Amino acid sequence: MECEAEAVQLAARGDAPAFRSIWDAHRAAVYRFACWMLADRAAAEDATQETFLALIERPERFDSTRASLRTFLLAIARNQCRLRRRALLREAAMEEAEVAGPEAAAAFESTEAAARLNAAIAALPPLQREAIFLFEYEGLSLEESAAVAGTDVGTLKSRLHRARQRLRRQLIRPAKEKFR
Amino acid sequence: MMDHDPEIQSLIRQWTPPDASPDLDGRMLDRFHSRRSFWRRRVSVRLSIPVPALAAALVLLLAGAAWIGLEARARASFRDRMGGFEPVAAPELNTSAAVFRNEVRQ
Repeated sequence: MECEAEAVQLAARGDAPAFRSIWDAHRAAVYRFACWMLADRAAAEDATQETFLALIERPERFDSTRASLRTFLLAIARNQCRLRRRALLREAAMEEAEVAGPEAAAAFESTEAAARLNAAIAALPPLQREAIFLFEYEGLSLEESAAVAGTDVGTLKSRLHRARQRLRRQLIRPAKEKFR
Repeated sequence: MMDHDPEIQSLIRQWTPPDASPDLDGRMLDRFHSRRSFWRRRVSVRLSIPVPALAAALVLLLAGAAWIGLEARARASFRDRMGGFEPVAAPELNTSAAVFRNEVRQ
């Protein structure tokens, strides 16, 4: 924790190796989260870069006694994704296309199962989508997930519950019915 | 306490993000190096003002400007109303002639 705070301070002062160590340690998690939320590789890459730049522009915001660096970066990434999602929605409205729908998710598809999974993820409302990713996919604790989502544990639990129900309805029940 | 859901977990963990562009690392480091210089960041000051304080200051500023404007208008309208006015010169009284006349009569 202390080490992370020190690295952030050094990176903010222009220390390239310190920045590189933070980038190498957390890039994958931030990029994964951005891909999950945006279903658009270019937008996810932009959001990832902006997240790390935001960290070193305002290093005083990171308090290592309150959250780990990963949790803090995911919280920044969440805001970046929201901004980009709005931009993608505006673009889509102009082009009369659906964002993060089956079309946008098609980039990730390789098999029928992957296609169904992507469609089910894309159909989740953004708040449920982030909750299920943080808790079930990334394995954060409820408290950490709530901190990233900027909400309380109770609200996060209810989002998780609804997200699980939706995914179960779309992915597990149809598969079971198919084998009856 | 809420536990992880192994069924959902194993299902969604089949999802993998697309590979990032090979030049993502390079682009990120370029952006890191092209940030504002150290001295420029040292010299610049970030000022944060609470919104209520800023709103109060703006209201005071507007009220002050309005008061000054009204005052100037009142002065100008007084000047307009009194335009062309010249005070009448006070009459000069000469009492010496009257005294002289009395002296002649006696």
